[in-house]
Amino acid sequence: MIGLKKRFGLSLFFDEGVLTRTKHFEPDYRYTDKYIDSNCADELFLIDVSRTLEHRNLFHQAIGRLRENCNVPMVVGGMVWSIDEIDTLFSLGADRILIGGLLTRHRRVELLQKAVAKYGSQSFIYSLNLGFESDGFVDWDGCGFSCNGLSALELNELFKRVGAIELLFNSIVSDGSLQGMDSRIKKLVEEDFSGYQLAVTGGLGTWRHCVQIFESPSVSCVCTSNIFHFSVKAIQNFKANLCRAGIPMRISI
Amino acid sequence: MTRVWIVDVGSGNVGNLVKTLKQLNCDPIVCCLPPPSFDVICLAGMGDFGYVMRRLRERRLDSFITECLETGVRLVGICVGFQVLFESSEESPGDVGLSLYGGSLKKISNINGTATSLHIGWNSVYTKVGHETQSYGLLPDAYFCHQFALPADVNDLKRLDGSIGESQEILIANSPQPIVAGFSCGNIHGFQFHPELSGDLGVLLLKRTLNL
Repeated sequence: MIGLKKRFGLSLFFDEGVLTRTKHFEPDYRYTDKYIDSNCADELFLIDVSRTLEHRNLFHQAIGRLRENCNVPMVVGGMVWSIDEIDTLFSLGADRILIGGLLTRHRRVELLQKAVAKYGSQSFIYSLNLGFESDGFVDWDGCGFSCNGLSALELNELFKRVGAIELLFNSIVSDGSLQGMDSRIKKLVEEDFSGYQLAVTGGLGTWRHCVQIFESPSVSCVCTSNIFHFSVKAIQNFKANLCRAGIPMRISI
Repeated sequence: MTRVWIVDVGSGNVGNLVKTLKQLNCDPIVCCLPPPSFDVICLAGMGDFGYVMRRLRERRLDSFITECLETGVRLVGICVGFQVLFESSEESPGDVGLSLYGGSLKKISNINGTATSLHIGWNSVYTKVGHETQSYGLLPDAYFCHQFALPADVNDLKRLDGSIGESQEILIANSPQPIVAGFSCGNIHGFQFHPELSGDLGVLLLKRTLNL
């Protein structure tokens, strides 16, 4: 297929430097990156889900290790609180940085504007960790501890101020369920955050789930990890199925 | 061994480029000032047009690079390093590029007439030969991540120093409107995409560019 392809992102979560699977934002079980066919992914998302910065150096080491062994773009995030940390992550091999609570919780707009002036706004993706209550969605901090309490309007205003172009929607409820994306996220994508390029993650268990997500034109990337552990050639097969369903994907590596 | 000076302007990740160059048996040197000797200058990274130009000017590297080109040193521009080879960019109005070639980069949304301003992901690349276009091999994909681009509706790239360009090869991608994805002309080469992140196609192009 000619033209821009939809992207498949492989999400890799690290708890104190060790690769882990997550369920509802809690580390579930640990495993090794040696069985991941990372070069078949179109982008790797490396996210530190540790609860403290005490062992941040172990996450840094993990980034360097993966960088050494793969040739696809890497998005790195989790616990990014300063310009120095952004510089460090780029120097370790990150191609883009995932920003969460630094904007939506701590509202460090000026700091992020400085980072954007240096690296360009295409170098940053802003994440929303979504839960749902009776009167609408709730954006949580990266650990699922506390709610940021911002409406879609307020979030859009923050994103506008930092020149956000791409967002990552993460479903707390669906995370690790393999039961498919929460349908309420699809509604958000189409109604409240339609002006951005969107990546979505959380709950995807089969390639059919991804076909449904890609029905929204602004979704350019789906991320998943759990369905590819301990498997060989699974990512190629997954992408081949999406191609057969009419979704343009990159097959060759 | 080809010595490649990767100009460190402190913007974006050049680690993958270093790794790829080492795999190609090159000797990459990342530093902000010229090393004692080098065969190739590489401007790389993912950054802001104005930020990169200001860093180059602070160290007077803009004129140094131009002088090096006259001695036959090869120049490779990647991503923002490709963009600064031209005159200006809508990203940083008022900042002047190296101006080796005419042209101004425009926001992707202005080129396409759409709201989307980010061209990210894997896209097919094809070559333009004269007025014809042809596929590049088996239409392999290259990895792009940018929001400003040079529209491909202009004629061939024009050197601003008045010299007659040697035979040019221009790479095009559809964003969906055609944009210049790269070019090769004499000792100047540019890639809007990231060859170091683009698998076999990227390695092939880097090898050709570096004459390996």
